[in-house]
Amino acid sequence: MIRAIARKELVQYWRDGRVVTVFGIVALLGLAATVTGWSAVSAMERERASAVAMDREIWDTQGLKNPHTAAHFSRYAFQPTFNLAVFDPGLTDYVGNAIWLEAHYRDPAALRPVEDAVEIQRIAQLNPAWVIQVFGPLLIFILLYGAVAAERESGTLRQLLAAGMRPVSLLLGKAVSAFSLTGLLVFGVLLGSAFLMSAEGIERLPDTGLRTAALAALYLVYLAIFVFLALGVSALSSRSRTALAGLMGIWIVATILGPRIGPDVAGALAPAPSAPEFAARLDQEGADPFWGAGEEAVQRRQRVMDAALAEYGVETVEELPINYDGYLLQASEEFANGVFDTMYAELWGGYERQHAIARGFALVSPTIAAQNVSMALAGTGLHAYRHFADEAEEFRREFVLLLNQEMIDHGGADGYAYVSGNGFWRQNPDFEYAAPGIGEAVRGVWADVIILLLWLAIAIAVAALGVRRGFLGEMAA
Amino acid sequence: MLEARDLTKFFGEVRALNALSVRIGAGESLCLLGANGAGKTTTINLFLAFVEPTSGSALVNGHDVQLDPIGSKRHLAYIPEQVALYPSLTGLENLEFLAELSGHRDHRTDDLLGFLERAGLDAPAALRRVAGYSKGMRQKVAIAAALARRASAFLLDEPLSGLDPAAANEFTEVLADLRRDGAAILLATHDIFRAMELGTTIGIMKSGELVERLDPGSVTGAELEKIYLESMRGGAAGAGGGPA
Repeated sequence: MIRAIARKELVQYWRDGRVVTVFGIVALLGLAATVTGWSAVSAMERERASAVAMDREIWDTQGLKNPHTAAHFSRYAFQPTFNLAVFDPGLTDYVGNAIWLEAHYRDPAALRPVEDAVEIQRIAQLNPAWVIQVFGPLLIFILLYGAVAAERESGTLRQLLAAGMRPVSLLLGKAVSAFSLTGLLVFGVLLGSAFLMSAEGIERLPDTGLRTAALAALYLVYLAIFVFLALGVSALSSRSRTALAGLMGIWIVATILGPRIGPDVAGALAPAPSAPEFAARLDQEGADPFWGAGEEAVQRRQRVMDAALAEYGVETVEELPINYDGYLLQASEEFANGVFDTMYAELWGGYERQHAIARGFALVSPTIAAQNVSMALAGTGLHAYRHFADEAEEFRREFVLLLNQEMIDHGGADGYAYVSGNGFWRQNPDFEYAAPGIGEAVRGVWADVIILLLWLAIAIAVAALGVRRGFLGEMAA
Repeated sequence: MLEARDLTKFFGEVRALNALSVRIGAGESLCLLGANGAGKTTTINLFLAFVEPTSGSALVNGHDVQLDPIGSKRHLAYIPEQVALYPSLTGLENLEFLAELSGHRDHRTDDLLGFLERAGLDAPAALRRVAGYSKGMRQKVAIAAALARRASAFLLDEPLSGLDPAAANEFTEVLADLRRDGAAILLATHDIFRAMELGTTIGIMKSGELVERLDPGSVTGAELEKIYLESMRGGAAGAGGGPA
């Protein structure tokens, strides 16, 4: 019975020019978004490859220079734009993919613009994931608003019930037909993305296959929510026009307003610092307490000198077998690192608070939860960027230590006059980013998964209510 | 076989049907006459299990429709005044869908065209989309659906209203054929003369009660009309039956 209903619906869809037109437009949007995504990712990867090579060449050929001066001359940590960004670029266009690795300073580039931390959660650009997130529900609502209401208006519902059809079979048959069409859209877009993702020059995320399968499952659950909501609303509405109006309201709130208002409210309730303000604080709190003229800074430097003298068992700095300036620089580096850890923990904590507030809006908009999970699986969410930023910071610290150590070990009494040459620079390592696996990637979005499943349960309950109540009036007519 | 046992239905305080007891066996047809609100459609709704009886029971081929609503509909055909079909599907496709709904997936296209032919719809018409069908053609699809599901009990609610004389005559002939083939038919109608043609029993309903039960062989059309009009007189006729 369900199969017969689903098949009949598909034939009707096919013969209904409006449905074919809307499906065609959404499919074209999906195709255009996929090609655009691939083009953008390919371009970013080409630019990154070129920038990596240039960065290396400039570093290798900088000539004679003090290693610590070179640490200020600095290098960059580049984050690859991975293959799944073709499908869901997430925050890719909103955050930097290059971090400046400088001594005494932790570049917040990955978070730039810091004041737009709210904005970066506001994804409203043409990409395959967004097309499914916004137009998938719209397509479902257009297909299903009349699922029961229009059958009631035309009189066919009464005859189907008289023929022994169970209301639940009608709903499931309609669900299968709408699901197969929208599922076709999801798999079409995912397959198209997968094909383009495998293009040469685009780096693969670890667990790409697993992530793609999880994305398919995510969007099927997401679309199922709207399928059951549409069926329930249609069954409970006396007229198809009423059902359409109600569903359009749900669509606007869920896919347009919720994802825009949520981050705004989060930004207002838990504001993030501005980029210049945060950078100034990094400078001030990381440097002044060590290098300043105040008593605290003087004492701190004195303690470093005392420790160095004790470590090497000498009385004066001049007797030290190392370059003391390098030693002091490394000590200041370690001091600043502690400050950065505290400041960045506060910053990330602020983002987490914003994220939690915005996630609260997922209770009125499953799209928000779906976006969070989708970005996490595609490796383009906030947690992925934090992972990259933390890895880059770890490398920065090792790299600065390497340079300072060169000065400490080989600089002797030359102080800042000690210089290294291209031979040394060429031995220095590059930053190589290893993205986390799927387990790590989804760790921050379990709450979103639970919210989505809750939404699915609510939608099924609405459809079940439609089955229980929506057919009673019809039968008594 | 269709059977009502003390079938009673109240909508709130309003009595729509009062202790109706009838039995329509194979090859029999009961034509119910009555004004709007007399209880004819309520009777049909009770047989379709669309509403619950206040008391009593309705049985189709021995199945209590409340206890076994799906089983009771397996060989039951319902034809309303306005047969609703899917306009973007052809008559044949509508029939195929309706047959599948009732669990008859085994019909080949030729079988289905045969049912339509028997109902009076030729193949070229059956292959056209229903959007261009007349009311009579839609009813033929409904009859064909009843044939396809091998219906043995028919509930017809004013099926002749609005049909032109030729179409009404054709439809009556098909129903008479079905009855002769052993179908049990319950027909609600305002058309006294078609009731005379089709009924093995004629019932007159008023305010939810079956007030007259007649053998069409024992009365003429004019006599039936007179009996009907006299039954309707007396003030209450058609005035307080509630939803019918």
